[in-house]
Amino acid sequence: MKNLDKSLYSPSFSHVYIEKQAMNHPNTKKILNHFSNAQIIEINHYKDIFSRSHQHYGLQKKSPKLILALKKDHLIYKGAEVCEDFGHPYFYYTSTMMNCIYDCEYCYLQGMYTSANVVVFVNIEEIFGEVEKLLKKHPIYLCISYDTDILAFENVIGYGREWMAFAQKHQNLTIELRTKSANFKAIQDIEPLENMILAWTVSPDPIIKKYENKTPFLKDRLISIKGALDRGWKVRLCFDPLLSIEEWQKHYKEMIKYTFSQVAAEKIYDISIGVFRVSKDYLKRMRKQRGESLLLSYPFETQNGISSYDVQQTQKMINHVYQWTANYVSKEKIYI
Amino acid sequence: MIFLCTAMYNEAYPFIKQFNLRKDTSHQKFQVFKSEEITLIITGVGKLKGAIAVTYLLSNGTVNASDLLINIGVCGTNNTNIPLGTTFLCNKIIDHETQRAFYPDILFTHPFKEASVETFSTLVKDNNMDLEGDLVDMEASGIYQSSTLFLKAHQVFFIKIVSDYLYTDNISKDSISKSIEDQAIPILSWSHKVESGLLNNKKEFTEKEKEMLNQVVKNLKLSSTMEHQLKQLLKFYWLQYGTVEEILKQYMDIECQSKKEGKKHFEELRQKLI
Repeated sequence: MKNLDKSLYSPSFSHVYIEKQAMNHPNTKKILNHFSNAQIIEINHYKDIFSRSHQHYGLQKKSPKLILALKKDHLIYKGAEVCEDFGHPYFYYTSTMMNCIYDCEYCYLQGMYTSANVVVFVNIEEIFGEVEKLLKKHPIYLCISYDTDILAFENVIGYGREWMAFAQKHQNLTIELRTKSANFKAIQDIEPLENMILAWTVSPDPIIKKYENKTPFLKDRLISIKGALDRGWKVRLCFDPLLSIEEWQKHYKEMIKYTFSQVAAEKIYDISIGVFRVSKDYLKRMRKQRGESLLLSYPFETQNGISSYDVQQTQKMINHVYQWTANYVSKEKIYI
Repeated sequence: MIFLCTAMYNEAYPFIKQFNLRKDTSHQKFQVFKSEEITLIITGVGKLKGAIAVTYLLSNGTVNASDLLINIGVCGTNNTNIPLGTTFLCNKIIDHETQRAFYPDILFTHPFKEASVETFSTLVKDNNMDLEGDLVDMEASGIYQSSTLFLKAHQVFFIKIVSDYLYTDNISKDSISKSIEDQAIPILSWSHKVESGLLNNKKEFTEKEKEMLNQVVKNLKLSSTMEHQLKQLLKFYWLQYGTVEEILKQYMDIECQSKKEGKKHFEELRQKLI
C-alpha cells in the first residue's frame, strides 16, 4: 500500500504557494532554494488555499504543499489552558508555522485546521517586533513550536536559529522550542542559552511506530537530547500525551528506563507529564478525518469542553508515569 | 465514476468515440453520454452554463469519495512559446471578471504540464491583452465553484489543450476534435489510476448491525445523547473485535418499561464495551 501511495501521490512540497506580497521577502528566497523542482503558484492570501472548506486533511497529508505567507494579525497568542505553563504568569505562544511535517494519529491540528498544507510565515521579524513590544510591559514565557515542529523543518527555514539569536538579546524572555525531531545537529553549533529550553516529546517506540507516523524513533530522539545536554542546553522531556493503549504500563515503564539509561537524569531541566486531551470540537473533526482510528474512537469523557480519559484512568496513568520518572529525577522537576 | 465535462460536442467526440459512450436520452436539457465507468456532459460554452450543467450532473445522484470530475477542453494562450496541442493540468483558476482565484488540489502525480487558466465570459481575441493566467478559457471558474459543492478540491481536474494563440478564426470543429483525440486515452488511463487509488475501503457497521443498534436504542428507551454515546462505544468495540452482533444480541429481547430501567441496562452495556 505504501508503494502504491508513493507512485500515486506527488512528493511532499511538490507545489509552493506564495502570497504575492511575500514573493520578494528574503526568507521566501531562502526557502525556495530547497524546492528548486517545485511548481510555484502565486496567491493573494494564504487563506484562499489554506482555509478552503472542501479539503481532505488526511489525503493532503500524503502530499502536503508549502504555503509562504506574511502574518498580519494575531502575531502572539495567550497560552491555552490545556497547556502547562510551568509556573510562568505571562505564558504566550506564537505560530511562525502552521502544521507539521509529521503525521501523528492523535494530533490536534487535524481538528484545528481544515488543511494539512504547511504554512510558513516569512515575516518572522514582525513577530519579533510584537514580542519586543510585550517585553516592555513584562517578562514573557513564549512557546514557539506548538502548532508545528520548527526544529524538524530547521534545515529549510532556520527559524530555531533565528529565535535563538532573538532570545540572546532579551533576557526577560524565556522560550520553549518543542520538537519530536532528531535534528539537534542543525543547531548544535549555537552556544546554549540560559533563557531557552529545548523540549522533546518522548514516546515509547511501539507508540512512535503505530501513532507518530514519519517521526524519528526513540533512540534517535535520545541521541539528539543527549547532544543538547552535553552541549549545555536546558532540556525538557515531555511524556505527553500519554496514550491509554494495550500494555501502556509496560511501554511507558520501558521507555522511561531506556530514556534514563541513555541520558543523564540529573542534567534534565524538567519533565512534564500529561495524558491525551483535546477540545471536544477538535476531537469530533479528528474522528471524522480518521474514522478507523481505535485511538480516537476511545469513549473519552468531556469536561469543560475538553475530552480526555476519565478521571480514574487519567490519575492512574499520571501516577504510574510520575512514580517511574521520580525514580530518576527529583520530584520538584516533574510537572503534572 | 469519472465525470467528464466539455463545453462543445467536438471536444467530447474523441471520448464518445474511443470509449463507446452511449447517449442517455433520459436527459432533456443537456446531452449526456455514458458507459459503466464514465459519464460525460456537454455543458455549452461559458462559465455560467458550465456551472449549471455540472450542478445538474452531480445533483442527479450520489457522489462518492473516489469520483472524479474532469473538465476537458481546448484553450488559448498568448504565449507563442507553448506549442499548439500542449496539454496542461491547471493548478490555479482565475475568474477574470471577479478576480477571484481558485486552487484545485494537485495531490496526484500526473503526466501533464501545469499552468494557470483565466476564465473569461467572452471570447478573447486580442493577443496583446494583459493576461493573469497562462491559459485562457470560458468555463473553468464556473465549473470549479459548482463542482466543489459536491466534491473535494482533490477530486476536480481541469485539463486544457492549447488550440490557438488567441486568433480563433482558423479553428475548425474538426481541428478541435483532432487536438483532443491523441489525449483521450492518456487522460482516461491516468484518471482510472487516480480513481482506483481513491477507492474507499472504509469499514463500517453491517446493515444487520445497524438494524440491531436501532432496535437496542428503542428497547432501552435511550435519549439521543445516550444513543450517540452508545454508537461511539460500539465503534470502539467494533474496531477492536470486528463485530458488535454478539453483544447487541443480548439486548434484542429486552423491552424496558421506563427510561430508568433503560439507563440501568445502558450502564451495564457500557461496561461491557469499554
